[in-house]
Order: sequence, then structure tokens, then C-alpha cells
Amino acid sequence: MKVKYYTPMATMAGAMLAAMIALNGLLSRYTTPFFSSLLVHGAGLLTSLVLWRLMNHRGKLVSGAAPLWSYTGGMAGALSVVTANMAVNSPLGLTGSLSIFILGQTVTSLGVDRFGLMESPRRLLTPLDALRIGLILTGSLLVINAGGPS
Amino acid sequence: MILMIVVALTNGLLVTVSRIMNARLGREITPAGASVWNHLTGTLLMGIFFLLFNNQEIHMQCIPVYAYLGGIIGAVYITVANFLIPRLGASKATILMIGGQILLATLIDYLKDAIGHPLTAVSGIILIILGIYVGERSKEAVRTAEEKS
Repeated sequence: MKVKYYTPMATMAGAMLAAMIALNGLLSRYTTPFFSSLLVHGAGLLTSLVLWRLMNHRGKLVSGAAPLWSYTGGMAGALSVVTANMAVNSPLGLTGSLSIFILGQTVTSLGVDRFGLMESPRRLLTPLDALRIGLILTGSLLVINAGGPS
Repeated sequence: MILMIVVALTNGLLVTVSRIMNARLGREITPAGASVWNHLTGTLLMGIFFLLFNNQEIHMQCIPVYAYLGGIIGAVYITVANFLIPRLGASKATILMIGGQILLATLIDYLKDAIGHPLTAVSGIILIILGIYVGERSKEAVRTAEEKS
């Protein structure tokens, strides 16, 4: 995989996230938020198993080289569903919540790079990286706060 | 209000921490393998939350099939993220995913005619696209990244 594809891939991964959130919102209209999230996780589990079989014939799903905590990322993800529901249904509303969500994500990821948290390699922020983060974050906050029909 | 701001910040923290954990596991058992564990442990905890907190009645029969598409897209997204995070670094992958997410979300809102101030939205989109583009202009950065990988 060529390095020049990484940026479009990451942007598309973000777009997938938006599509997923829109579809999950649709699903939760048919049932309760907790049950729809459970259904989504189940569908994701089946898909992941198929993807893993397709991409990795004889690999193992367990490795001694991976720390135990790294197997439980899905639990942090499930907790994030609950905190997202709490925030969106609070006085913060959708726009306020979304703005703080992306700020929280960005600050945490900068901390991970800066201090090499969770066995990540340390990475220095170049001026160009900082400019990029500033532009995308400002743009996102503008879009989020462009609001619904006024 | 302050409590809810803390809750919202915690959400951002949890999302990133979850991605980094998955990416760490993906380095050992492939990105798709880490997605399996992500969904397995996530389903378990979500099941516990469901049993503890769900107090409404469930009607299964009327759910359309396309409503499950979100789970399928989610599995692909986690696999791609697990591949990219060790290669791009946490902050670069995070900010690009935020940009892509907002771009498609805005398109969806536009199709639903749900954008209140189009001028603000358009200027935001220009900044996001500029931001996605700006890091790519440095040929040297790409070259060093290729040498490293």
C-alpha cells in the first residue's frame, strides 16, 4: 500500500463513520438506543469475522506479543456510545456535544503521539501537522455550528 | 452543565483510546483480527448495558434490513483505522477521520435540507479540504514516511 493513499483512506474512514452514525440513528428509531447499538455491534462482529477470514487465511486471533488491555478496545467503544447518548440528550445538544467530542478526540490523540501512550511510538508534531489540525478543527467547528434550519 | 461537558470530553477520550487499543492489537493479529476482538468485547459490554438499562419494549419484526448496514460499515471502518493509525500516527489519523466524517455528515444534512447557515458551512468545508490537502504538499514528508514504512 502506497503512503500517498493513506490520507484519502483516512478521510474515507471518517466518511464511513458518518454513514454509520446516520444509519444507526435510523435503526434506533425502530427500537431502543441500547438495543439498536447491540444489533449494530452484532452485525459488526459477523462482518469482522468474514473480513478477517478473507484477509488472513491461517492467522491466529491471539498473540502473546499483544498486551491484554489491547483486546478490550471494544469496551471503551461501548462506553463511548453511552457517554455520547448522555451528552447529546443533555442541554449541550447535538452541536455542543459534537464540538466537544472532536476536541476531546484531537487532544487525546495529540497526547498519545507526544508521550507515546499505550505503547504507541512517540511522534513529534511538525508545523505542517499543526496547521492541518488547526484548519480541519476550525472548519469542523464552523460546520457543526452552522446549525439546523434556523 | 459542567458535568455534561466532562462527559462529552470523556467521549472523545474513549473514542481515541478505543482506536489506539485496537490499532495496538492490530499490529500483532492484523487489523481485521483486532476488529473481531473490538466487536466481541463491545457486544459483551453493550449486552450488559442493555440488560441493566433498557426499560422499553423491543419490536424486532419491523426493522428494515438496511438498518444493519451501519454495523457492516463499522467493521470496515475499524479495520481501515487499525491499518492506518500505526502508519499515520494517532493525531494525523484522528484529524483526517474527523475531516472526512464532517464532510459526509454535511452532505447528508444538505440532502436533508437541514443546514441553517449555508455560508458558514461552506467556509468550514473549504477549511477542512484545505487542511486535508495542506499536509500532502510536503514531498519530503512523504519520502521520509516511505523510508520508514
